[in-house]
Amino acid sequence: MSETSAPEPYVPDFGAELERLLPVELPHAVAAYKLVLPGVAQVPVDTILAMSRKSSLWPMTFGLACCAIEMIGTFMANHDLDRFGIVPWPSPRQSDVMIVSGTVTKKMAPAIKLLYEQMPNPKYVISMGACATNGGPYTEYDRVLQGVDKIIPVDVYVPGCPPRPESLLDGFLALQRKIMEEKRMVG
Amino acid sequence: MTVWPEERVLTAEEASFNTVDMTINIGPQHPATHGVFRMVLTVDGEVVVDCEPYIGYLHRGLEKLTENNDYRQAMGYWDRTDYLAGMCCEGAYCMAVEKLAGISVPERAEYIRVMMMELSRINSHFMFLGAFGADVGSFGTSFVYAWRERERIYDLIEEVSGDRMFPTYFRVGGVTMDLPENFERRCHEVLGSIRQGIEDLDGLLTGNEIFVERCRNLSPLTTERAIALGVTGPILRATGLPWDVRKAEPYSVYDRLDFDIPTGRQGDIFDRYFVRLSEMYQSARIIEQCLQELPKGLVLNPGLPKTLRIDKSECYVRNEGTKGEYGVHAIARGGVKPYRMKLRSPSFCNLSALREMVVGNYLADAIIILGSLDIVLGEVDK
Amino acid sequence: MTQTYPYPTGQQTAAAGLGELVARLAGVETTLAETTTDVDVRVAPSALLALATTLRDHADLRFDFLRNVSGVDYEADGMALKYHLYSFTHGHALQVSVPTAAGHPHVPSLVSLYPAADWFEREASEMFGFQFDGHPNLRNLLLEEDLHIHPLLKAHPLQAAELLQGIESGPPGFTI
Repeated sequence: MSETSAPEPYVPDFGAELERLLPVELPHAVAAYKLVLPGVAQVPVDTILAMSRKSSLWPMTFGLACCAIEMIGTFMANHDLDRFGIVPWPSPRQSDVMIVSGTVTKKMAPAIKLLYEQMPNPKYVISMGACATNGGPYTEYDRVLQGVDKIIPVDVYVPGCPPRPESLLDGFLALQRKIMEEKRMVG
Repeated sequence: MTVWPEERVLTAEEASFNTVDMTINIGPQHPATHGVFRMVLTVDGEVVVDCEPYIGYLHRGLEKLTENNDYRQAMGYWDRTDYLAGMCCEGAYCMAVEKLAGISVPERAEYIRVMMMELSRINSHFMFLGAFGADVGSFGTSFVYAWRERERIYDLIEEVSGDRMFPTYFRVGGVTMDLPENFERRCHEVLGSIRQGIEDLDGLLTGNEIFVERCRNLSPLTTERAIALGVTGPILRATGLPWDVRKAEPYSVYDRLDFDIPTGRQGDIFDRYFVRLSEMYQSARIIEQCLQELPKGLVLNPGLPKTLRIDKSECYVRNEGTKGEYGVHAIARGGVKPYRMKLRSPSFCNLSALREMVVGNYLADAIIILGSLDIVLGEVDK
Repeated sequence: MTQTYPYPTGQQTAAAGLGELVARLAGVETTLAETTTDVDVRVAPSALLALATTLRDHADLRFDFLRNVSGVDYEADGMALKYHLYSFTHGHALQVSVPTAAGHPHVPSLVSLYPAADWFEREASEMFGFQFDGHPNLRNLLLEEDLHIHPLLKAHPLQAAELLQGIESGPPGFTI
């Protein structure tokens, strides 16, 4: 009688999950102008390019959860990000920054990797909020990825749950400083 | 001239074409999906033939983590379910724990809770107006108008509780601390600005012929079908039935307050939009009544124990959340942690009706039908 | 302007006499109880479909709205499903509990009576492992398609929060 048999012990089967959660492969690209203008002439070009990149960062609108609401609030008239040249752009093919705002679940991770790969170089990632940093308040649940930096490389971490719009603004300014220091010249 | 899909008659030449239905994947990243939601549409030309929604991209384990935390700690997870209106969810959770334990709430705290919940409701509906306007076509304008008022409400909530979105201001047995001294003056200022903001958005959207043409008569829903599908909230009210948990099964002090329930006529997109717009005026009315009738007294039940232990008990508490009936089914079995707390989320049930609403309409209309459901993924995916 | 409502208003407490009414009209064996907010009627899984049909169709009951379906894992005492129903015509609410045997969580599906049960049952089946006989489309809803796990069972563990970043070795993911 199947109704009176002892229940089988619970053995979860995770399918192909571990392959889906491998980190993205980083591109090994060198900008053409660095090969053509080595040395002295490269420094002013680097500086001008960095100045133009930091002044016109176009984030891909990638709101996952509650942090997305504060991110939208930062774009809006009260805290205006447009004055820094930051224009939200829906397509990954034409954006510079990806703001991962919200909890990254293991179901969403392959989509995030794909979007990161679709962005052209040079690209930056801002991890906004506690969930994208290390899983946040949901870190103990096994369906949650403990931080988006497990799958893509992150440049700036903005703490908060959710971070105030002023905090996100501070994160963007830190990214601008980072770009000027040329610590991340990919391509 | 508008030709609805069901009225379109193919000519003999068109009927002889060999066509293949196209599969279009929308999401999980898309500016119009209001969060990480994916739907796969099968379209025949421009007409949607099939729609398969995929959810779970924000499944964060609300219910499992609640079982792992104290009664008072777990509230932090419940705020973040409906992240557009944090305090409505806190209210539902606190009511559930109070029903389990039999704790009473002082009257002043009840009135403060109602005020905060109605402010959150106005907040969420402003977000709907902004996002829905963006879906229909006013890409940024409605958003900016809506956010001007939302920032004022956030400032007010921050003055009262310390945080903008998820204040954890409610406690089991009342609220954390009393209102600041100039709250009444500030609240009247904000309400005046809210009324002006609603009028602006009303003029921007309802006064726009393109908006009305797009939304009227699109995807009508009957009351019987809505009830069978489990749809509640503004969508059910748009079909013509003035059912609201605050009137049908009143909780807190709603039975002493005087407000109307706006309804629509045929349950189409325009009715759902207009019901939400009208509800905002009613919420402002409720807040003003609460300010007048606010009694003096304590804001937190003084007889609470240091650790809350609840013996065998069960309850199903229902709230009128911003999207519909927000229910908390709670089971306690001794100890300091809840045994099981299930969220009956309104957006989950409303979204399950999406397929029926979208099939047979044009592709562009599928987006605004999704927008009119006003889902928030934190609730849907728990 | 006073507004009239075409439904009777109720309270969030157990309605007096409702349990006896349901037990009398049910036609199947039921056990009555009360929770803090509703009347609770317990039935066996085999009797669920008959009871639900009576609840929906009988003129004095008319429970036309399925509000909620929750699964519960009572560990040593087996598992249970709780259905919450409401009537728009009479304004009363009911909870139906269906305890299932420990190793055999099969329950008939209510999709034919209440279309709202579709997603509720899919969620309960993937979270707890219930099998709903007669459900047309019992696939995973919130979890990925190829996962066969039941996260809300008490036996399913949580993952450890990281203490130091970058120190762990091996691929990211969950180790049991």
